[in-house]
Amino acid sequence: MSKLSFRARALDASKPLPVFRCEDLPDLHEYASINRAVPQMPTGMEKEEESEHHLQRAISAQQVYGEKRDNMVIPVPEAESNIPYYDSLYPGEFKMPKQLIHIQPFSLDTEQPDYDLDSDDEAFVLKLKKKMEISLLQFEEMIDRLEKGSGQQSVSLPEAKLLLKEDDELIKEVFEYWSRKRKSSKAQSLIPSVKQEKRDGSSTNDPYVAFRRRTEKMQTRKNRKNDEASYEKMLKLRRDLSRAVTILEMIKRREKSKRELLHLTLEIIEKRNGMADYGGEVMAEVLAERALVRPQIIPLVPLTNQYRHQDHTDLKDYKSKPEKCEVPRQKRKYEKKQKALPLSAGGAHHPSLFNAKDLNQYDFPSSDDEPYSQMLSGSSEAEEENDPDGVYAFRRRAGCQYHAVRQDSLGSWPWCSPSEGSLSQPRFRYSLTSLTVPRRCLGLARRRVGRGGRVLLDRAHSDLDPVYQELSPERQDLPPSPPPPPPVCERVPPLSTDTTPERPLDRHWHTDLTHLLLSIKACRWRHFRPRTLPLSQLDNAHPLFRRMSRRTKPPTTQPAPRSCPRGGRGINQPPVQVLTAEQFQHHQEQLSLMKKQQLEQAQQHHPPLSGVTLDQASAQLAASALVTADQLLALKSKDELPPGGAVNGVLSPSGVYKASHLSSSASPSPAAPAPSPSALLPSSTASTAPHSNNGTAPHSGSAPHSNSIRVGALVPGKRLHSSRTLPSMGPSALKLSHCQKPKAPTPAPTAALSLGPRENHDQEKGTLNSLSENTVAMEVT
Amino acid sequence: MADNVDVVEGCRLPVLRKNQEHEDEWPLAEILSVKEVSSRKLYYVHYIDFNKRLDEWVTLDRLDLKKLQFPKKEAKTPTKNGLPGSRPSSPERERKSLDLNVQTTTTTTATAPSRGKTLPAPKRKAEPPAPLAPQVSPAPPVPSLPSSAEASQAAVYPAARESTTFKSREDHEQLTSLTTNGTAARRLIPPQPGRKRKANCGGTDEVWKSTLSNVGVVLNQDSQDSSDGIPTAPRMTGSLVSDRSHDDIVTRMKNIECIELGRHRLKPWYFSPYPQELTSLPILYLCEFCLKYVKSLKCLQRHLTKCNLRHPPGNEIYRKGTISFFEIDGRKNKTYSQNLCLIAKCFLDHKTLYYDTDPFLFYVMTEYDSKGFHIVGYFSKEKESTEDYNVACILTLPPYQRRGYGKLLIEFSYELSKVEGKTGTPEKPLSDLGLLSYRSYWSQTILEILMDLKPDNGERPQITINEISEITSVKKEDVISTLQYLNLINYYKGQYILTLSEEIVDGHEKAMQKRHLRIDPKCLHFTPKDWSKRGKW
Repeated sequence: MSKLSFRARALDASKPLPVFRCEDLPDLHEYASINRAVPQMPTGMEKEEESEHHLQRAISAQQVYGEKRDNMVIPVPEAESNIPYYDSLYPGEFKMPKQLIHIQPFSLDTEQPDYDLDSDDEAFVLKLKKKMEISLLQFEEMIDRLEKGSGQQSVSLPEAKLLLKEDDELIKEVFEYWSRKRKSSKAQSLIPSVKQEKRDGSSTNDPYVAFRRRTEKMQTRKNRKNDEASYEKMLKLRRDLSRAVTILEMIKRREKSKRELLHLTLEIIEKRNGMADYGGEVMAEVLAERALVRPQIIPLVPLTNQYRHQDHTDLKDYKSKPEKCEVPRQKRKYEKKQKALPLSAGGAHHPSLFNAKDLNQYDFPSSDDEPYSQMLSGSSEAEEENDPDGVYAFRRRAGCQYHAVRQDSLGSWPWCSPSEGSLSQPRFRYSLTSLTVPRRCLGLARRRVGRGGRVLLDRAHSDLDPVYQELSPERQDLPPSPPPPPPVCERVPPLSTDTTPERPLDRHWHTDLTHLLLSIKACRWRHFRPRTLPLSQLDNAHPLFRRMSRRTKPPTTQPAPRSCPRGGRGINQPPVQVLTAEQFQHHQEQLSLMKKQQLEQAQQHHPPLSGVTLDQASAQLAASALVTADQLLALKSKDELPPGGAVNGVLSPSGVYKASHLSSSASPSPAAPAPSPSALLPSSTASTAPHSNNGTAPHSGSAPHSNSIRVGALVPGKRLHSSRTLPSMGPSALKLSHCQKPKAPTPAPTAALSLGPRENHDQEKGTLNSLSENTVAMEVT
Repeated sequence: MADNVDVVEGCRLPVLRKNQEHEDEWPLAEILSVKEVSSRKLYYVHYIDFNKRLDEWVTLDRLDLKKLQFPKKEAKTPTKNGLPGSRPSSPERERKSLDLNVQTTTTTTATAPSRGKTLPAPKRKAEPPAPLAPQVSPAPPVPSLPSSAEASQAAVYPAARESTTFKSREDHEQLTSLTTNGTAARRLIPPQPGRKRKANCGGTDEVWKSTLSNVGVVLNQDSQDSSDGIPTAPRMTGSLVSDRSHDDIVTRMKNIECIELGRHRLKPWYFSPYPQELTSLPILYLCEFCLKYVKSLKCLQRHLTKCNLRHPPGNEIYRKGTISFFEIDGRKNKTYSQNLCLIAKCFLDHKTLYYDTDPFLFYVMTEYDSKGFHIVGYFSKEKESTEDYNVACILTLPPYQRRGYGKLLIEFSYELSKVEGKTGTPEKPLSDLGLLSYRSYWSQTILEILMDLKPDNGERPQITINEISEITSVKKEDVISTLQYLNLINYYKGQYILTLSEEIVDGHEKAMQKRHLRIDPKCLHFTPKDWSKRGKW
């Protein structure tokens, strides 16, 4: 067989190759011709260079001799290694550390100037040294700053003075020297540096440009994903930063105001000094006078925070009825005084300008606005005491969209007259109404559902009002009740529906009020709906609760107004056990919070806008009220609603607030038009809110001025854009409605408790009394 | 004797130089630039077929004007006025080859002489419009082109055709100007339009292959640079570029005369983009430890009062005796990395400094004495290499060359790869010295293994290429090429075997005796980092 015709297999890198010594294989040369089967590998050099003379010579030499001979090496330009001044140039010794050298990151960043002075500079500095003080390093630092301060354009002398901290004269000298030197230099900068790329990309081919940034990173999929995430992060960062900017701006304003306050205080002190008011008596007098004239707190915090302050002051204004209002105010002032006075009284003889009061004044709010928050919290306590309707306070929720008032849907509510394009349903007509607690006859009134499920009574004025009042069963107990406020009630009847005169508040009533409230609160507790107990536990539950759950089973149309004993005081002791103390506490907190926020909202906007937006709570309510089961199903399919499992999460049945939601949302019958979720603003907002319904009647002034009557304002329901707002509601609202769905066909227990009767047309009149009870109760809590 | 005005850029003629034996020789050289210093003309010459590092400025008396060849027939008009930095119109290549195609009757081969880089634009008397010369660097003074024109082809074509009748390079010194012209110039400047070049090179390469087969040189057809068109920017990975970037005449010429570094004075071999204002200095001074460049000794003295570095600013990851290695992150220590690259570029032709140093680690080898840790050499390494590169650039500074440090650097790079558990290979292209060093290292490493193989219970010892690769961390391809280069692979009785000849064994043993400097893996304190998990480098 011919060896040459034999075709060798390719070299297999994973196949073992036996290793021979050539002397062991005498016949090897016979096989040599087949070696070319092994693929030749590239050298990895540029072709053009590979053939260079010296390389080839060296390669050949190596192959021939097995090693390079000295004259066969590739020649290179020479290098010298005998710099004579080396030792003086690099003075000192460096001892080798025992350990391997580890460098801390950034420890290398020294503050030394990059500029190194040359002989010219040295001559200049030495010359300059005769005139003024300057060291070589200082000179270098100055030049370094000037160089780094200038880009294409050199810095000017004024700029240089800003850059440098040395004496003006020195700066001038160095600056002149520097600019002369810079002008005569061909280079861009006196600190030589490698040319940078130009932004326009024109430097692509400039061989002196080096170390360009790798702008176009090679994109891999991994990176792309990151980009999206990082983009979002950047967005968030931007938001946060702009928020920080806002905060800083506010801080700036605050500090400015503080400075102003300081100046004012200083002025006062000076004036007092001038009039020798060392004891603060004059001051106290003036303060007292001012308080009498105008009980106004000068806002400490300007503009952005102003609304908070205003609502604080307005709150005060409202809370103290005009003739009374000085009392708490002065009290507050005097409180401060009283703290101060003992001291100043003692020190009244000596001429010290500073008494404790003054010290106090200098104790400015730093970052926390402490006094301010104290005031707020103080007032919120007061609210809980005196102001009973925080429950329905408007509260802005994060994630909720609030829409502006729809002016076009004016009067589309069931109780509006046909002239306003509404149904004017008989169940909303005015009828003679009396309340159980307090027992008295209101005259003509109609009731409707307000925001949060409250029942609102619209009263109408009629000539027969005095007669109606005679009808009050407990007439003799009542103080002579004043007539309803004429300005409100004399309006055209359909329009007058937006005011709900409340209990007349005179002194007698006021003292009685706390008592009344207490009893009402006691009754109110029954409105709390505890978390639904499992059936097994129902037997152990409170009798009332058992009754309630029993009632849910049969689809009952029977109203249960009287079966729920809530009316008479003392008739039924409140089942306190249903509510734990914590729940109650929590509830109270919620109430105050909500009320505060509602007030803020009300104050923040101009009166006509007060009802512009909906809080999430009312949105939820609206959604639940408007959406029928069918709609819900449709909605559910559209939005990714989690199946009803979320019920408990959403319905935290911890208080009246939620319970009343439940009650109203459970009520809608598919046939009936949705009850309009209108809201009764707490009467505390009377000063700003009453006219919100109807821009045509400006009453803002009148309400606070009336002594005998507080006008409750309705934020009209029409502000809620009925079903159209649904899509824009947050998922949570829909969730809420969704979870209500199973209950819709049957009146929920709470519905039976509080509002169920209203839905029953037949019984309308018969249940009015109990209804009014509800009304009062709910407003109170 | 011809008037010296005639010697312009692009001219070729024998130039006197001393060889290593200090004998006179007259290799053919090309004039790359002409300048006038104190009314004496100086010519920057590139010795054809010699490495660029030997290019130099010579005086007129070293030129053999009798054998002067002009770049074109009628290049009577002096191109320009001898401004420093003047250069031939190399960027004209594209237009040139176009013209060639139009005017030539010998079709394809004609483009091979694309190197006629010095050719003026035919038919163009004035300066070429900028758009036609996109790769001209804007920086240096605009060269004036040899203006007259028409004729250049005549000189070029013969050369082109000659290139196929290649003579072995051994006798190139005696070659007449015409015969060498083609290949030499071709080597000098790779033709620009990639496709054409490929097509044309095919022919010549074949000739070479047959001519040079005795030394086992194979020309790889697809080098990385054979793409199309003009490069706008080099690739982002790696630190070496193909010859393409050298089209610019500026980068073909050394720009720094001398560098003083510590106790050494170095003569740069290649262009390096130090700030342009420093290139005119007779000596550029570098701080030995931070490698900062300053313009004068005074500045260096001032700098040394402020610079307290006595070692490269990185972590020492290896120390044995006086030899240490420092690891420097090109992202964290940009200034030092850039300074290191700048000086390295002086000695590495293909190194590119186009992009920043962020994706690289720099391993600086130092030798300690009482003054501190003096830099001996370094290699750079991509933090993440897509192509199994374990070295990007590698350099032993000239004063330390030919003393085993290069091999030490290479050995260290493979020790790192061993720790990483990878095989690696140096980034291409290799320089001539790089090829020799690597071949030498590979040969010794592989032979060491082969000679240490002991007969396995009477059986003849055997080993696979993969095993060699695993043990040494040398990439499989490099193992094969080394085995081939050493001529160890033989086909014997139906299978491949490795044969160790006596000369090989002897040579290896001799070489190993001389190799004192070795890396001791026990002294290496190195934990590889997974850079892919660290975000951007």
